[in-house]
Amino acid sequence: MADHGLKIAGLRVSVDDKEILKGIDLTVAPGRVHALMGPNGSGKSTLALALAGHPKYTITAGTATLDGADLLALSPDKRAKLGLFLSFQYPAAIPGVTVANFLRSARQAVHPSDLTPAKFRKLIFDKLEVLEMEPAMLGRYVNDGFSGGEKKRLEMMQLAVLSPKYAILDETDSGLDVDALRAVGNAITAMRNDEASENIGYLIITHYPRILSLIAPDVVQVLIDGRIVKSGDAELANHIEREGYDKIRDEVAGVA
Amino acid sequence: MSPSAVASTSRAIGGAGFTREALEAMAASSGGASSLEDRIAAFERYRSLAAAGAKPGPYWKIDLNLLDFNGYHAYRRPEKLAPGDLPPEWALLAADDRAGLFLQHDSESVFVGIGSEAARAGVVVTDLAQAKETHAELFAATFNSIVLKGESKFVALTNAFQSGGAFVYVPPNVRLDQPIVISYVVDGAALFPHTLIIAAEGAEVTLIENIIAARGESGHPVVGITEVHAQERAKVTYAALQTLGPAATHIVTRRAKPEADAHVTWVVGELGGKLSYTSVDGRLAAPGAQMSTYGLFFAANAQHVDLTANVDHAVGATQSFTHIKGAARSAGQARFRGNIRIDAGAHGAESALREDALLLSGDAHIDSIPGLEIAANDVKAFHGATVGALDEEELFYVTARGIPREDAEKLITLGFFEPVLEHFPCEPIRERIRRSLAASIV
Repeated sequence: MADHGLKIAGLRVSVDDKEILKGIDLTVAPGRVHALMGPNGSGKSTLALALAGHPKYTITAGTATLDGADLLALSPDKRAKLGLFLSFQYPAAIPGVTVANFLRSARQAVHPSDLTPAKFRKLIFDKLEVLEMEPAMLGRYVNDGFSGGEKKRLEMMQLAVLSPKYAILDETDSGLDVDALRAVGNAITAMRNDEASENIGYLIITHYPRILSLIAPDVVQVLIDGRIVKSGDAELANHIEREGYDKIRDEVAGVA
Repeated sequence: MSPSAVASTSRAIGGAGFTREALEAMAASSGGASSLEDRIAAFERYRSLAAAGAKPGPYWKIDLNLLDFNGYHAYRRPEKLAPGDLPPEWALLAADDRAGLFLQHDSESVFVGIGSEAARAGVVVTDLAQAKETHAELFAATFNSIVLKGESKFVALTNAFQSGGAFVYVPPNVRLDQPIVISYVVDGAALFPHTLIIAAEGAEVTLIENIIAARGESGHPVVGITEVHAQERAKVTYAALQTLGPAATHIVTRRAKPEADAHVTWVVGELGGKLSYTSVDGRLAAPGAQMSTYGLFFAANAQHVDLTANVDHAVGATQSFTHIKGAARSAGQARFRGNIRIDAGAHGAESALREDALLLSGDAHIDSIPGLEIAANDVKAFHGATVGALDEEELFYVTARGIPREDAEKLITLGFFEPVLEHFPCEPIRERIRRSLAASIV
């Protein structure tokens, strides 16, 4: 089906009248892993938040479609219902709302009444195990007083509960200790090996290549100063690990 | 039996309005806990005093000195209820889940029940006027000793028109696992309940006061007094929830007197009414005395809420903790005053006061007025306040999970209240609060 994919074309995004993304073309195919790498300030998180519909980001040109549907015309909740998921770099705390209540509310909003309470419970407890989380966290308030690792694990829990078509992981690996990183990697690997979720397409946004050693990318692109300057396969990530971004920046400048 | 069927058989005594004639007529009919002379003196005091609460201004529209009670009867005698006829909303908890129930419909109690275990332990749940006869000594030692006769305009009004009100006594070292429910049901008349709670040395008890209207449109006011005496080492939790209809007025003065090493916890919720003017106080005058106060209110539409929490540390080695959360929406107006006083010589007192205000629309307004008066050295006193609208980053996070904006606002607002709400003592009452809040939010 030609329309399938999370397709971004000519996307330009501004914040407070300052242009951050200067024309992005990128397609994430179902079931594929697409890595977008770049140094700090290159516009990676802007792309993630703009696609999810954050009101601070103004789209000045271009399109973004999810399996053919226009994402940019929709409110954030409708984008999620359509099948887009964003794992936040900095997830907000929601004091007074328990994780259990939040997961239930979100699942109900995106997939109304499709799971019996018993099946929903099983899904949650299976994921707790994969993510190496204590059931007690279900009674805690969402992200309230969570460590960095706990927040990212909860993002992965929500990814599993919402079962989207496309997932954007914004710096999910940043600030994680080894154990948390492994748990996150295990959670995504488990989903990629599961028939029910193997068709999720991933846009993995990262500064460091280390998460890509746990989830092998099909495509790697490099974002610098709001433009994609280089594309390749997993080998490009290794190249960045060895050489850093300055080398690519120099190469690009040299070509120009 | 439906509530309206109950009401149809009750009858009003005296004409409408809170007049001297109405007072004489109700006093002759009800007896109550005070003499006619005392009632008339209190009534004159009510007429001469000015209210101490919020004054009319650019936001607050109601003049507490000009409340119009002309349309309301001051006394109405209800029909008694059989246990099988108790409407569940009135009883709040099933018989198996409560240690006792005092149910007042309009001006008199219509049902008083006590669990067998509590009865065997000597716990008393009865009507105030009854207690004056059956427990004369306890009554005389406590009645009007904590909230003083005529100390303010509306205390004087309750002193004048008092009818009904629960009297609860828990004997020394008796610990009740289940709460005692006190329901005040407004229907065809104003209510003037005077509630008296006495927990003897080492006793532990939880009370739940449930102020509701038999019919939502009832505008009859409730003007009451609650006195709580926690004797040495006693632990008393007094939770009170007001969910009257949008035309009603609720005015109450609540005060606790914890003795040495006693701990009183107030949990109050003001959700209904067009006017809620309430105070919850404590005087910590014995070492080791503690008071915790949790309060929540929601001023929706044109509701006006004035809530005052006062703590007076009269001696050292006393502790208090106060946390109030309030929200206002559309033209809702609220004023919260938190006053902490630490008297000279009360060294080692510890006190914390926290207030959080959430504004859900541009016309809504909440004044938070903290007052700390500290006359002793070597004390710990903390005060913190927040005020603001819903956080856009939180809203975006929740909507990005597929939850529509309106539901996200509801979820986050309910979450705002939860840290106070969770102190209400049992799930049915917490659920009732969540439902009521959810209905007010959008």
